[in-house]
Amino acid sequence: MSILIENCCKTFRSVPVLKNVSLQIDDHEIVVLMGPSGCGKTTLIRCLCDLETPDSGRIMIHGKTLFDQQKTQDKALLKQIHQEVGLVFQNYQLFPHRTVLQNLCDAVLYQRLLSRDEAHKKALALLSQLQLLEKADVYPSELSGGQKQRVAIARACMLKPRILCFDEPTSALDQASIQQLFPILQRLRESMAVLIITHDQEFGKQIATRTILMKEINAVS
Amino acid sequence: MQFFLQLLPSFLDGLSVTLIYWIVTLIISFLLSLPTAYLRVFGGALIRIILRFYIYIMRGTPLMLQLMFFYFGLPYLGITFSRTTAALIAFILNYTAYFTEILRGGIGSLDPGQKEAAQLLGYSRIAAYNRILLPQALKNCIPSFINEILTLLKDTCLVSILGTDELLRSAKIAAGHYATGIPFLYVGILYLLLNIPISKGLSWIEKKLSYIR
Ligand SMILES: Nc1ncnc2c1ncn2[C@@H]1O[C@H](COP(=O)(O)OP(=O)(O)OP(=O)(O)O)[C@@H](O)[C@H]1O
Ligand SMILES: [Mg+2]
Repeated sequence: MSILIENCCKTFRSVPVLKNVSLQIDDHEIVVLMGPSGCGKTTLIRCLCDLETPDSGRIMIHGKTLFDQQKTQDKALLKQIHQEVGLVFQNYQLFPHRTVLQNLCDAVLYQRLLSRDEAHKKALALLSQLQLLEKADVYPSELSGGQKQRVAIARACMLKPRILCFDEPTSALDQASIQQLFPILQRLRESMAVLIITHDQEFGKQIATRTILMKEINAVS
Repeated sequence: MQFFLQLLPSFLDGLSVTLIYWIVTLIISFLLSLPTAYLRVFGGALIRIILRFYIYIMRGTPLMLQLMFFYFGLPYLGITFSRTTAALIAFILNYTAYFTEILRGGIGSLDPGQKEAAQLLGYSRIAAYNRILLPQALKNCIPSFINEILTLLKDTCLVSILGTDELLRSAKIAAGHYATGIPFLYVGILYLLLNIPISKGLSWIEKKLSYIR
């Protein structure tokens, strides 16, 4: 058992968006989440990442309780959970005033998880895996969409997450960049779970180890 | 030209006073606005209301009235400041309010995802503000800052109502002394010349930072 979402409910201004959603994700899975627009896919991922707080239900990350009828009050635990759940935003959210290398290293240096040398070594290794080594000292504004996405993936990986979430990773990519994404996701899967929201049936079918229709989850109560 | 050189020493005296008010106000107001903008955006409800009220007062009343309040008004309450102190307090409080609002707007116009990304990467709220949001907001706010900085340069002449000999007042004195309006022309040109390095310098910085987008 790695990620457990149980009977999660979330209402926005008295409109229910998540109704008793339950979902379990194990390590090494690539779970693809599909469903009609507005059914709450993004909201579910945001709850998992602690960007939104559910109204009720339970969210466990590797045995640590993020939410059980209320958000955990334990600051240290919350910090661990934030580290274990990574997210690649739809528009990547790289920090435009920092170079690619700085985007990767800043957080681990700020959190004092690694020394400067260790952080640089790890970042450069990730960048070379993702064919971005020559972009290390470039600012995000000079990158293509696919390159930005790979930087966002690398940045998330610096924290060694146990699960990495993607919100519509192919929506802004051309076919060539989508093809490049497959081996990267397969490789991520070796060391973590991957949760992907997509409208792209073809892509979803090819990459998923398990596909879930959001309507179905809603029905599970 | 000879007349200008004759007036120059008194102009320089006035100019130095103007520049001191300008620079001191600028530096202190800017530094104060960094935490106040944070509190204006992320502070508790009470702090945000207090700041909004403070900004409302500062923007809603004439700067001249504020100067008069600190120099002529406060003594009635038993608080007396020197001319310089009273003027600096008024300027700093007024410009901190404007700078705070500029920065608040700059932060508000950033993608909220930037703050969320920082949160997911383990930044505390203050660290996210200092390291992620503020640098981007500052860059985006440069045009507004140029505006305020140039306005402040002109606003410094208001201290003359407290009897302080700044640049404009030195022209007024010379004009009265020689019974001619020419000194005003000279001083106008001096103000304009001061504008150039300020706006050029800051625009240059903005251009240097154009990779942030
Ligand atoms: N912060 C918010 N405030 C109010 N309503 C919201 C908020 N976020 C989402 N919603 C609403 O919740 C519903 C689900 O939104 P969500 O973004 O999770 O859908 P989605 O499944 O990701 O859709 P899409 O496939 O179009 O991205 C929508 O009706 C949306 O309007
Ligand atoms: Mg969505």
